[in-house]
Amino acid sequence: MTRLRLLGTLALITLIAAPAPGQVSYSRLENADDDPDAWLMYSGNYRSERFSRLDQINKENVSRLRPAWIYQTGTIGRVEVTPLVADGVMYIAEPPSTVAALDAHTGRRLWRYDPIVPDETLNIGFPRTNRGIAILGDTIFFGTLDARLIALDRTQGDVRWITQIADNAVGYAVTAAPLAVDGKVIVGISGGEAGVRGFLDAYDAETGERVWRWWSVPAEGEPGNDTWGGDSWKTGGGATWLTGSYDPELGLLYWPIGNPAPDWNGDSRPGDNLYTDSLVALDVNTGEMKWYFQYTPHDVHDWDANQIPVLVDAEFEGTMRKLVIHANRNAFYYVLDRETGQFLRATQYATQTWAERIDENGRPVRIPGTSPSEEGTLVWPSLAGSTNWYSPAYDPGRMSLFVPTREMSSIYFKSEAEYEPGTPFLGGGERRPDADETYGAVRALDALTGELKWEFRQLTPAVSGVLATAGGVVISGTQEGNLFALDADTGAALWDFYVGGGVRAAPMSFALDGTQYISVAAGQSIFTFAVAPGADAGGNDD
Amino acid sequence: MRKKGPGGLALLAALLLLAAPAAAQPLADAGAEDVAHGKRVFDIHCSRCHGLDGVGGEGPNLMRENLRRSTEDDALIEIVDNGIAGTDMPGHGSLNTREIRNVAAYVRSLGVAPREDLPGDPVAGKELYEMTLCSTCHIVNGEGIAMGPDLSDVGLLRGSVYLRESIQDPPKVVNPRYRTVLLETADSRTVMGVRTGEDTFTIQLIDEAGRHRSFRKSELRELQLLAEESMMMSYADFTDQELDDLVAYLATLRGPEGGSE
Repeated sequence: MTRLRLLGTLALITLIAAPAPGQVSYSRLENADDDPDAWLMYSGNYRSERFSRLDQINKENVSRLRPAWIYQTGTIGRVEVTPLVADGVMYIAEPPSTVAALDAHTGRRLWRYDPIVPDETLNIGFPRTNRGIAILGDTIFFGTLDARLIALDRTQGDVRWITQIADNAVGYAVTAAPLAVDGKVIVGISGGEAGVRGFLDAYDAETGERVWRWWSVPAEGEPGNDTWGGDSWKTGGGATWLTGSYDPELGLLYWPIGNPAPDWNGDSRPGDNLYTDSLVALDVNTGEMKWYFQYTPHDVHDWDANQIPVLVDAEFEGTMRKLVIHANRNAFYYVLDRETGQFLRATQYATQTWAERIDENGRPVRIPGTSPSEEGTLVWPSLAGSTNWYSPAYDPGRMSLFVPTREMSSIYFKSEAEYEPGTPFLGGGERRPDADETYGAVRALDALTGELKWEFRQLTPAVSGVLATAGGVVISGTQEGNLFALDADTGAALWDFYVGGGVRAAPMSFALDGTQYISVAAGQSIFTFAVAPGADAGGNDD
Repeated sequence: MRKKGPGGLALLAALLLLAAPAAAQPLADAGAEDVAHGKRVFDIHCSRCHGLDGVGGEGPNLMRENLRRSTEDDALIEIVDNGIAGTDMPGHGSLNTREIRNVAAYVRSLGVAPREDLPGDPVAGKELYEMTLCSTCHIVNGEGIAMGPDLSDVGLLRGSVYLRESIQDPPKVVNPRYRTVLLETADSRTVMGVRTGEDTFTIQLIDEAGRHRSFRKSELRELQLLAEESMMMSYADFTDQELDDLVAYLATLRGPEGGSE
């Protein structure tokens, strides 16, 4: 071997062995706030703030937000993903479970991976869609409708491993974005409306092997099983279908838990039905539960707790505390201590007619006669709740939580519920009011008190997530197809743009070469905006 | 190696039988108990629009020979289950497989309602329809201006009680899709029309001249959805005889297939 060839080989080996410059290390994830040009996880950071530290787009120039590029998925399902951006590449999920990498400068597709989800795959209680991806190292992770967890090399979309995590034939599926932590991928499942027994899993990021599983419905002999009558725990629901939050210092995951099954007929499951409709704190290394807090014991309205828990460190009544805040589907806003799970406060933030109040332990005092019935029972909020999985955004400077809100009632019906594997296990449902009797809003709540600071009213109940930014603007959308920007201090509308399809996802922000962008999925496409040059930017409008 | 024989085929056939959905039985053969159960579910969930016993109301009369979208059982079950896109027929949102099937069986059992014996004179009603300018808002068999609903098959889809009410007391029954809007522009012009589209920031309507208009809400001084007053209120002044005649005429409008009689 000549000296030159040897050198060449050595250089090649070095190239292969060296970590790529843009590796998304765990430390980069942990310090996502210091890396605002990227958007590295579903809710932006481990505290799930969905707050961009970029401030180029601000109250003064947001009115000049214009499309930079549009990517059309060419699919017919709903696109509900929050895109990730790292090192100039955007990663998105398309319905039902396809992943694509786009050039973040142009929106042009670099590669696409379709895991081929069979047509007969069940989706009981949710659309055939995928809401997001996780990234760690050079690998991206996502779940499929037929309940596989897949790891792909992010350069070309090549498969690293595929793990079947549950059986879709009984209703299990993955629609939520996994959460990548140090060496592990945390993934939740959907399927509560099929009467699955919920769980949260952790997988080794390198091998795809399961590290732990935490069941959201305790088995016989386990604490909490006595909150279920008979065998009802076996089909108890408690899906984990929305990405949770993580406190690396405490080593705790905060995961919201879904509704009990059957949804609207609770006769077969007397008791509180732990840990449905709860927030749980789990040890990230073992999956062991440190504490739980149940928002809605023995739920019969499908008011699951699958809303984003936001981690906030703040002075609460004179003491610095580690808090977790949560605008719940049941119309109340909650503040808890996230070290202990202690209930600190609940404030009603939307119309409700089911609870007299929340007592000093955080337990609702129910108004009699508000359960679903055969002839129908009118209750606020509606089945979809006062809010839902649509992400809120938290502005740490203003200490405001911007909540996508729904003002709507339902007439709730109760019917028989018979469990049959792989079929809907519901026991009732809702009749909705006329559209003109409903509306939506982005509500800015004081993070510590839940008091309303302002609201921006929308024609229809909210279905879109919210993004807040250091530029003082709040971005969200409507199911009619509007994307809009609000003043974070007043709620005044500063800009809107009709995207031609319902916005059923949450916006995110990133920057490339000094330009800040905002991206959002709407209809069947991904829309990306930047501020057009204007007078005050020294640009030329001609 | 084992020889493949009839035994294997029989096993396969048995497996296929097991795998086949139990729904193979025609809805028309459903037992009395299932139909009665279907009626109970129908009364709670469907009768608000389709009327008790399916005679129609805000929603179509189901007691007719051909349910044009659901001549097949599977299509009928699919409609009960998921509704009809682009119409006001919603998916049930709450029924289990058995309830859906039994409601469909009940709908199949309804049979054909006898044509209503209406007191009015359809010929006089047709004249009245033309005289009172109904066609400035409605299309019948391709004629007229499309501001309100197309009435070409309204006699098939709606019962006489509903037709009478919708003329006498439009706000009570008027479809929210045809809400009347009154607005005032920044330069103090007043515009009234029928709303054809709306989102959080804009509204579209057909004005009194039948023109398409679009406005940004932030540029309007006032925007009202009229609930009590409606453009149609001006037609509420009929005598009982005129009303009978008009309803009798509308009841003859049964779409291009049936043709008007």
